[in-house]
Amino acid sequence: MENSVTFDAGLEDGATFRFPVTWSYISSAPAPKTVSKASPLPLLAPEPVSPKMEPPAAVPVLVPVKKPVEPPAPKADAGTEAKWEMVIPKMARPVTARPRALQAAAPVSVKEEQPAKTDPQSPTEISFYADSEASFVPQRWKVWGLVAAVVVVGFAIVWVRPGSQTASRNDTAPAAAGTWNRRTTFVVGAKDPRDLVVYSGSDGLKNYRMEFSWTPDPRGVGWIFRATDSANYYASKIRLLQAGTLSLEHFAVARGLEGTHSRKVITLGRTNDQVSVRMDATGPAFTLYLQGSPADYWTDERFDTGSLGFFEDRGERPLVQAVRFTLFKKTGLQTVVTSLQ
Amino acid sequence: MTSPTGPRASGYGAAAAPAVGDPLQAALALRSQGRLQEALDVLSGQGEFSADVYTLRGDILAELERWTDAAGSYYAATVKAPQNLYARSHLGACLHRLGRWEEAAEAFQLVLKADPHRDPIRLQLAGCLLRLNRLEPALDCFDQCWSDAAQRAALFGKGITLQLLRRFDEAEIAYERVLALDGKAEEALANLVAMSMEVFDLDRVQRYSRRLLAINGDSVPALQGLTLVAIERGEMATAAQYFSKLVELAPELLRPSRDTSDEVIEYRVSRKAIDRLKEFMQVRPAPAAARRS
Repeated sequence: MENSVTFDAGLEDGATFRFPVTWSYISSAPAPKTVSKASPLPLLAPEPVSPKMEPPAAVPVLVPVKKPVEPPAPKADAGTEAKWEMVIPKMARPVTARPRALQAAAPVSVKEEQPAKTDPQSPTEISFYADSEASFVPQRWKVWGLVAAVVVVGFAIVWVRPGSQTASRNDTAPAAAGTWNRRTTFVVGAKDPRDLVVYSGSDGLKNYRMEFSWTPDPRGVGWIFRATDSANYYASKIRLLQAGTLSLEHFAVARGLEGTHSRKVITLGRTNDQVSVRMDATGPAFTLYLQGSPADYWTDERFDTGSLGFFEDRGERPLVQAVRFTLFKKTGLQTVVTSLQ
Repeated sequence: MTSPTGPRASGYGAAAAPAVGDPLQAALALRSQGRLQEALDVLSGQGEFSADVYTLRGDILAELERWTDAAGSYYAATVKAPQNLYARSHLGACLHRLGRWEEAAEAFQLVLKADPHRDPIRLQLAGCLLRLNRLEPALDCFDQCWSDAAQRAALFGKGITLQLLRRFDEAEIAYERVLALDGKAEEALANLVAMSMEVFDLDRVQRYSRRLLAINGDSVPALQGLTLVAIERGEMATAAQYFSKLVELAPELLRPSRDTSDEVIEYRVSRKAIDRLKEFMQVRPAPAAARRS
């Protein structure tokens, strides 16, 4: 073997091999997907606490025409520019089928500054025995009274309906702001179809917060975000592995191809009937909170904008309640409380 | 059902109520058009400014890569609004850029005190601690990283810290975990080669150098490692093959230097060895300029 080289004169007297120990990897490539395009400090600048992404600490939930509570820190100043809008859940929900879903709607009352303090076990169904100790009216009378009221209301509806079409349209307008659209898709290589349940009011949005309560079960609940269409979206799923232990995963579907799943096991410490899930999508960063504590954080910049919603594999309906979205629109914040029913 | 409205594009709180001649809004508009110097001029002048003005000035100065001025502006913002984590984290980043590790570390620690979940800040703090040779606190920082996004960097940082602490077995495990997550992490392999050199484990030097060469055929640490292993084993033809490539790629790196940094492991190839290598290489005369140098 012969090598033809230009031999450096400086090497005539010997050479030195140096093996430096370096750590540029820490700052330059913390995660292969992470590139902060807009960062003023390309390599070293931290992810800024973007004031416009950060919703105010104390959110006046579902209280329209009311300024958000003054934030304690300057970063939350954006809260004063917030525009609040209440979107009435579109779908009529049976009272008894999902009692806890009603708790999300309960804060409609202006007094409900702290909806979380509502006793989750408090009955939400209509009870004839609510004040039975103080009432001496026989139960049969109550039944008859209720039947009479239903009849009167029915007559009133039939009577009023033909002449009140304009009013009806106005009432339903907020509901049209967001609807659930179900699409059946097939991921490349998958045997079973997947149903995407997309919230239409979130089309083309970049930053938002999803919150819902989930009853832990092995089937889990999956949600999608930044969905541009049924072949391009991010997804996350949370499942119950065993009592108190959950599996978190997130992945992307791009051009119909499902990417690798990033998985993580989380121990909540004790068994919970309900797990509060929250996910913040802020630019390329995604943070998942369970029971109010951060459980996962990752970055991905493949999809800038898109809708949010849920997904169902093999027709498994997720057990979610108290679904709430905070959408960071150009015109301001919009908080949506809805039901997946 | 709406309440307060206002432009939200800026992200600066004081911009909530735009006024005619508002310098903050004007500067934001100029900045969005890429007219950074003009935006800066709008925010310059005498008098007291709000924290938002100082923060925006810092951002613009950082975009202009005027790190010292940017650090000053962010610092002023933190004095005005001590809870402004955005300004404080960027102050830390500027100080990091300027190599002012102690002050940068202090800024990052204050950010983490207020918001302990921010791994990118923790990684930068750990980087500062490494520079300050505070290895145990740096290791703690890397261990505290919890997010997926920071996992690789944190593992790598753990590897480097353990290597500097001479806990080589643990460092090797950490680096291997980095490589399992990111098979193209050249720097991890280069550090493994360096670590193997430090204990002069030629088998490991060869193994890691080969892996590194498979990723990057022009990797200098890999070629150095394979050359020295071949020289040590008397395989001069093989050594000449790698050495000739090294001479082509980076002759200046092979010249003796006065770098006495602790983090550099050196291996001297003697004149006699060079002469033997030359026998296997068809050497062309060096250009005149190279000879003069």
